[in-house]
Amino acid sequence: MKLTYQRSGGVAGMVKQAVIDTAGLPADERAAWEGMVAAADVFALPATLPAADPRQRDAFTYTLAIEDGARQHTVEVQGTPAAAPLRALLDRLQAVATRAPQ
Amino acid sequence: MTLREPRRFDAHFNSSGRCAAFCIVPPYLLEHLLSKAKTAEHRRKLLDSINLSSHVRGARTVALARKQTHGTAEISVYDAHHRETTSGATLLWSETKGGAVPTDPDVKNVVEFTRATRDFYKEVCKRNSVDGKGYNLRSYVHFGDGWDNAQWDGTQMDYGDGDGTEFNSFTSSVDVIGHELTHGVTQYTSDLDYQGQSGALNESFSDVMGTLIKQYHLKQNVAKADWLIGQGLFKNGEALRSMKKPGTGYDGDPQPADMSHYKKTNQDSGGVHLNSGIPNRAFYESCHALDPQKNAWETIGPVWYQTFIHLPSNADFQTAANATFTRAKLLGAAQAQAVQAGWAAVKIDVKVTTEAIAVT
Repeated sequence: MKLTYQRSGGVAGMVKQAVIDTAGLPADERAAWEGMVAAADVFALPATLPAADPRQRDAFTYTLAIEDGARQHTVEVQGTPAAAPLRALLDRLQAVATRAPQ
Repeated sequence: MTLREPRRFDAHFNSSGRCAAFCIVPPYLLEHLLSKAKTAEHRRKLLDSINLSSHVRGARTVALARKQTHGTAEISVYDAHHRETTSGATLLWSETKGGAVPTDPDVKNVVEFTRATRDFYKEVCKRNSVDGKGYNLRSYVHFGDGWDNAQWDGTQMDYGDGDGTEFNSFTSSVDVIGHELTHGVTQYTSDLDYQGQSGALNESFSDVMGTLIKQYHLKQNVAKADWLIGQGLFKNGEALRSMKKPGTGYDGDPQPADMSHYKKTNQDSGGVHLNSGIPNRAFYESCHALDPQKNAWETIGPVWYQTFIHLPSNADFQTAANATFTRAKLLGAAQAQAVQAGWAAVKIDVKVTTEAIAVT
């Protein structure tokens, strides 16, 4: 499973990104990532999770693409996601993300 | 006393203009009475004292009236308890509650800088808070867990503590607080679309007003001011942005400094925090061209403020350039020349057009 994460926006306007390919990871780490993706039910999410208030400004926008065999799905999350499992997955990805060229 | 034509309370009227549900007190009178109320408590008592029949008391119109009553531009600060939501937040301090401001530096900063922002809008722009009608200014500190951000969420401000590694607390910069509150001003005025060039203008207006608020707060003229946004927010790095020299805020700052380096991107709502460097610099260059020894809030600042609050929501950079130039011409040849030079510095030629620009 491959996870491609990107966070843009925020008052700083800095883009952070991370790419995780679980194929090359130890079994426990692979299980942890795949478990979080399953808990967040990413493949069932709509393409866009809109902002709680469309008038929000300087909020972060998260883009998460998951590839798992033949399955592929991309989700854009505007602002803080309401669901805790998705929040946990994004936090975990953000913790390993680095600054992207802009 | 003058009673204006009812607008905000027109929900109570049907198409014939007759009161549909709220017949006891005419809407315009209710609005007037509510506008005279000094505190939220006063407004609540006023609403409660109005002799409403029970079926009306429960009606949605009452909730609407309460929601839309004018504020008193009151500052209040809440603790979000490191959660990325305002539910469960607790009040730390408010002007109504009074008493000493807590010693928590985030609370002290937010109170001082929100006050500086409110003062600037009132004293310099003659504007009563975000909506021009005394909008109450609620801020949430300790928002999120090590959250690297500050935002206007559509109704209030949220400030993160920063991760402690790359960023300090986002309350530490007066211009960032002015920036967030100015998103509220834009929401209630031009409502510039948050995408592409109009989005970059939305961002730039927040930076322009943020830096003017800082300069007014510190009494710095054009030459003395640092023209930085978020100075001190980085653990290692100067600032989030430089309006004077976009692209030099920090090591790796991607902002372009003129139109020939404009960046097309899908990230960040089409690069709203990226290309804002171009109109930011046009503002700095205009102020500098007029007179570096003068105060920007007294020279080109009013030109920008009056223009931006009247821009169409889909304005692009050329529209803003033409409109600021048209506005500056009303003030004099020197101002017009300075604004023309400011936009020329970022490779945008102002064009005098016949399009209507609201002038008030």
